Formats: sequence, structure tokens, C-alpha cells
Amino acid sequence: MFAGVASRDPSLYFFSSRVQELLFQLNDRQHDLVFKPRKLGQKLEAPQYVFMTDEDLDKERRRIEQRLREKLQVPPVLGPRKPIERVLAKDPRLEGLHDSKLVCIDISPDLSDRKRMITVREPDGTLRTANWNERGRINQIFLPVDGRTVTMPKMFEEPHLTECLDREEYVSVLDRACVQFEPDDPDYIRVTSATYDHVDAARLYERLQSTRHFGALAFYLAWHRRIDNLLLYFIQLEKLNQAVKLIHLYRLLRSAEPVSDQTPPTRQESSQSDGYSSSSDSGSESESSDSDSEGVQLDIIRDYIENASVKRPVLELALQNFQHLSAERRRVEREQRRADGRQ
Amino acid sequence: MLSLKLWVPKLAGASTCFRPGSSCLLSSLKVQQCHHAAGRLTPVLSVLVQKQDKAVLGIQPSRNAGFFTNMSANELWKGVTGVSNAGRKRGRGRGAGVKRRRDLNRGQVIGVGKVNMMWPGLNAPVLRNGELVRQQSQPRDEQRESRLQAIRDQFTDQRSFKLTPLERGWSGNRLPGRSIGPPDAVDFETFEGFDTTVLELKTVFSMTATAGRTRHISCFAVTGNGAGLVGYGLGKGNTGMAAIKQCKRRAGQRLIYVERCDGHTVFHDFFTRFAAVRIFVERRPRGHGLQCHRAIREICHRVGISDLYAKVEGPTDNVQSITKAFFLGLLRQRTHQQLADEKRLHLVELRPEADNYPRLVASPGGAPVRSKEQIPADEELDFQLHIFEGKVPLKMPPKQPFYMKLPCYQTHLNKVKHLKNQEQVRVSLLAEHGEVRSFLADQYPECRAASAALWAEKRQAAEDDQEQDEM
Repeated sequence: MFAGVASRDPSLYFFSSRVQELLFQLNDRQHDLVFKPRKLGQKLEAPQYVFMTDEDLDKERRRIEQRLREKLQVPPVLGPRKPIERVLAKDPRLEGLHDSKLVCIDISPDLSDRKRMITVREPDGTLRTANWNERGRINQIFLPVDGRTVTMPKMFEEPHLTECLDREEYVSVLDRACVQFEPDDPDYIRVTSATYDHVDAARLYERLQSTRHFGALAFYLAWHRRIDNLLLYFIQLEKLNQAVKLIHLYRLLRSAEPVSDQTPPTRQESSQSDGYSSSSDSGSESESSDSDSEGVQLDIIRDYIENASVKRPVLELALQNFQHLSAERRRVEREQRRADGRQ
Repeated sequence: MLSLKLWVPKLAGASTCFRPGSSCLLSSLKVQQCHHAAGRLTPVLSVLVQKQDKAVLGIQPSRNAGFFTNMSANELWKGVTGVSNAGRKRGRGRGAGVKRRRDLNRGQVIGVGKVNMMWPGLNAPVLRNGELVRQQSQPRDEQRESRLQAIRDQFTDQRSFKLTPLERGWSGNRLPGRSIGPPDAVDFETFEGFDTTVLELKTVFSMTATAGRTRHISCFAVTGNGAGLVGYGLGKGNTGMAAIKQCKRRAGQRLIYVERCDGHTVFHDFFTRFAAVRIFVERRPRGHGLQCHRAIREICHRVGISDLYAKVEGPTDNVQSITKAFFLGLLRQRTHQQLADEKRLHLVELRPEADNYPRLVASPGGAPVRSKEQIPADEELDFQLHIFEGKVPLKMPPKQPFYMKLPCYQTHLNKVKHLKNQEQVRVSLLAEHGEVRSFLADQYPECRAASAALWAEKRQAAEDDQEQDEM
């Protein structure tokens, strides 16, 4: 749970643009998965066709990049909310007037649901603000959100939640949780944590790839210092870029000072906070030649494995395999080029 | 034992005939005389019953000969089932109520009849163990009549056969809509994967100088392999079989290749016409099915198109014209690549269910893509208008029932408003509580309807009580 670890507030780290960019980069962002046809019970129509010039095509591609960012916006990660009940007035003379609680809500449409006034008059005459549970229910009754239910769906309770996760329905559980709960709801945190733990245990990270939940999963694992399985996954798939980004995220979230947006990332700063001799920055790394950046990446990964990893032998073996394969591939390419040259 | 002597009066023109199995008791076979003249009453055979001492006891009349025995089975059946030429022209002698001839010999053995006797040389051996076998009467077979009747009943009824739903055509057991198999192999071409469907089978007449009105059978069929190859053919012949054979052969000889989009539908909507038939064809998404005239549906099955909408206007019964119109339309289709080439622009697909992601399906091949400046101002860039060459199919708004305009309809809607969400409420109550119950059920438990949830609770309560008592 986010509450437990050193009582740090993840929201102080989550909203920084550097962390957000890292979370975006960690995602595969495959267009055909992000924009896959969704079966929402709607009547299908034949597709539309449009003639386009090169300019029109570029414009569409830019629009799609924008849309991609929107679709892959990571659901916010906040710590659990604090109670907000407070007594406004005590009127003992009202006792016995009603046998049930009365609730008042300000239904002005221009108010935020979190800020609008909801008060409760108890049968004993106490007037107090509604607690979070009551707020959620009353808001849903008077200003319903599409897809949300007033009471919590049974699928988020045990044993149904575990059954859903055992059936590997991660994306639907997470999507419904995003609709049903607010991000600081302890139930939301419980459900998402259970899902991420299950994904991590089953190593089924590809289920969440190209969805907005992958960033949240990566943040969760990095926050709880359990990135080894995901790192292994990246190394085995030869995605060294993303392995390095994950390590960078881990370092950022471990730093004592919350990451701020004002200070731009510098090489010294990142090296100090990471404890590296070789520096690397997430998005601004230029890959002059494949083998150079690969060397740098391998150094970073090796550094992490030696200093901070829990599953050191497994990761080392995976890295060795990668290097071996990489060398083989380069040798074969060289020989191929020589053979082609001769021809 | 009585000995019998027959005395038959001799009549002019009479001839002798033999009829076995007569109802008279005979100690030996005697030839009887019968009368051949049609229409006249058969002569009565007088049987003299004599006692052993040759005294005549009396005369017993019996009729043992007649037109049943004079005429052959064919002649008799023709008389019963026959229809005159004039009647046949009117279609009599066909259909459900027609009498069918039955072979009465079925189930019968020569030598065995109503009288169950052993005739040596006929239904018994002449010699058995070196001894001569004598004629012997055997006990009557009571079941014989009913057995014969059962056999005859078997063969009378409908010769019509039942087809399974998958084999069935458009109507009854008739051939239109039914498959007649692939075209016959020719040289090396085995027509593997092909199937032919009959679209029309009719009797046609033509006046000739010599024979006058001549009758032929006409068969129109379409063949295809479900992967784009398809052809239609018309055959005529004196018999149905000849016509079918000819049309199947021709259909297999005249194959065309039809391009399909994504293997399941046409590339775009189109309009096509042949003779008086006009067809508006629309592309449909996967899973929609074939929403069209039954002839077009069969053609689509043969081509391999599984999703389409087509509206036929004009003579919808002229299957040949419809087929030709549809074939023309399929051939005139333009693939995505062809469209991109002729326009020299990229062709991009947008699917609403995929968030309108712009998928590039075709780019111009030879010439470069035109820029905005190179496109004239009056050029049609809209895809639908380009396809229909500037025309637009007229789409009438869907017809609403007459009552929706009346003010009383609003009254009705207001009355039933509270029921609109009833089904959903029931479902969510069942999901949450296991039964349909009101919020007052806790306070007033007696208002809960009999339901599985209620009875489960009662059972549980009873079990708990039992446990309590035991403890």
C-alpha cells in the first residue's frame, strides 16, 4: 500500500514532468494496440474512406500523436485520503425529530464533486459534514457518473477480485476501478495494488503494455522497490532503452527530495541522485551509434544489478545472455556484409 | 367324407380358365368355365354338393370369374389410376391425393394363397425320403391377410423425400436455391472447391413451325469456389437433367475473378443496372451478414462475400437480369489501390470503433502523390461522391408508425415512463440481493416474495435451530 512505505506521498513525485515522461517512454505505444477496435456493444458501421495529400496525412499523424498522449495518460497515483468529517453544530433539542439521517447536497452544476457541500444531520441532532463514503454515494445519486454504481461492485470484493485476477482480466478490472473510484480512495489503492501484485507475480506485463495502466504499474513497482522482475522482462526482450528508463525512474522515486518541475535535469544532478559515475538522462539521450549507447546502457544496468537489485544472479545471467546474443548477431552481420561485399 | 362334383352350364363363347384358391372345398382340381364378355354379369357357378352316396344335397352359388381375373394387372391399375389426356393437361393425376399402383404380388409366394395347402412340385418337394409326398391341407394362416396389407401399405404413401435445413432450397423440395455440386471435370480442371446453386428452373414453351408449341426446361445456375472465382450459366433441354448439366457446364466455362475487400465484402458502395433491374449495393462490416435478394445471396455465397446490403429495384423476379446486373457491378468495382492510383492521393481508412485511427490502405503506385495546389478546386474529393460519380443514392428516412405523431402518444409515453428502467432494476436487484426486493424488506420481512434467496435463508435458519437444539 502506498500509505505504508515511510509515509511518503507518491503524488509529490508522480506529477513531475520528468516522471511523467519516463512513464510515457516505458510504454510500448504500439498504435494498433492503443487504437484497437473496442467492443462496447455499439452497432458497427462500414469504415469511412478519405483521400489525403501528404500534408493531410502528416496532420493526421500529429493528431494521432496527441490522441496517443491522451489515451496513455496514466491514472493519478495519490496516497489514501484523510478523513474530512467534522462536526458543524450540535443541537440535542432535535433528538427524536427524525428516526433516520438527513443528507443535504449542493447540486450546483459548476461545482467540483470533491468540493461541493454535503452535510448530514444525525437523528441525535448533530450536524456534520459527510464522510468520504457518504460523499461518494450521494454524489453518484444526484450527479451520476456514467459507468459508476452507488454501491461498490462485488467484483472488487474478495473472493471475486482474486477470481477475476486469476482469469487474467487485468485491464477490465483496472478500467472499471478507474471509473468507480477516485484515485485517493483506499479501495482504489487496494484493488490496483492487488492487480499490480498479481501481474508482477505472473510476469504478464505485456497484458498492460500499450494501455494507460502500464505507467501506473511501473510507478507502483518502482515506488515499492520491486523492479527486478520487470527489469528482467525488459532485458529478455532486449529492450535496453526501457530497462534503463525503469532504473532511472527507480532512482528518481528513491530520492529523498520530491522531484520538482522547476529545475531542469542536468547530468551532474542526475548522477548525484542516482549515485552513478556514468550519467544518463531519459529522453535526451542521443544514440550516435548502436554499440556506444548500448555500452552505456549496459553499464547502468550492471551498476543497478550490483548495488540495488534483489535478484542479482538471475539478472546477471540474463544480461550475460543478452551480451552473448548481441555479439553473435554482430559477428553474423559482419560476415554477411563481407560476403555481400565480395559479391 | 363328401365327394363333390361340379356341373357347369356351357354358354356360347365361353372358354375355360383356371383360377386357384377358390372358396369351394375341392378334393381335386377342376377346371371351371368363366365368361369373358365385359359388362355382362359373370355366370354363376353352381356347385353341387354331393354326399358320398352320390345324392345331390343342394346348389350353392359362387362367382369365381370376372373382370378381375380376365384382365392383366397393368390394365386393372390403369383403369383405377389413369387420367385422360385432357385431364393431364389440367394437372390431374399429380400431387398428394393421387392413387398409386401397388404390386399385389409382393409378399406372395406362388402356391400359397388363402387356402394353405402343400402342393408337391409347387411349394413342396415331390419326393421326400424316397416317398411320394401327397397333397395336404395345412391350417389356415390367420396373419396372412394382415401381413400382405402391411406390405402393401408400406409402398403406397408419399414418394416425396425430406431434405435437411442445410440442403433445402428456397421453397419445398424444389431445386432453386439448392446445390447441384461442382461442375464436371474437364481435362485437367477438376473444379476443386467449387459448388453450384440453381437460381431458376422453369418450363418454357416456344412455337415452332413444324411441331407447334414445344416444351423445354430452362435452368439458370451460378457456380463459384468461395474465393473470388464465380460464373453463371443458362442451360435448356428437353429434360431437367439435360438442362442442369448444360447450365452447370456453361457456368464453369465462364468464370470471372471478383476482388473482395478483406476477404469478406465489396470495396465500396455501388449502383448497377441491367435491363430493367437496378441494384444499390452497400458495403457492410464483418459479421453483418447478407441482407439482400435471395439470388444475390446465393451469388455472394459462391463468390465468398459474407457481408453486404443490396436493394433491388425493378423486376425482383427476373433472376437472370439481377444476376447480370450484380456481376457487372462486381466487375466494375475499384480496389483501394486502383482508387489511390487514379486519384494520385493516399487512401486512408477511418473506423469509428477504433477511435478513427487513420490507417493508410493504399498509396499511389507509379506517379507521385499530388499536393494541395495540384488539385483543381472543382475536383470531387469526397469518397462516396467519387464512387457514385457525382450522384447520391436517395435515402428515405425510416418510416415511423402513424401513432407517433399523435398527441395521445405523448400521454402513453408519460404513463409508461416509470417502467422504462424496470428490467435493469430487476437485474441489479438480483445481482445485489439475489432476489427482487424493496428497500422496505428489512423492516417488513413478510413482504419478501418467495424466491431462492428467501428459501435459502429459511433453510439456513432451520438448520441453525436444529444445531441449537442438538447442542
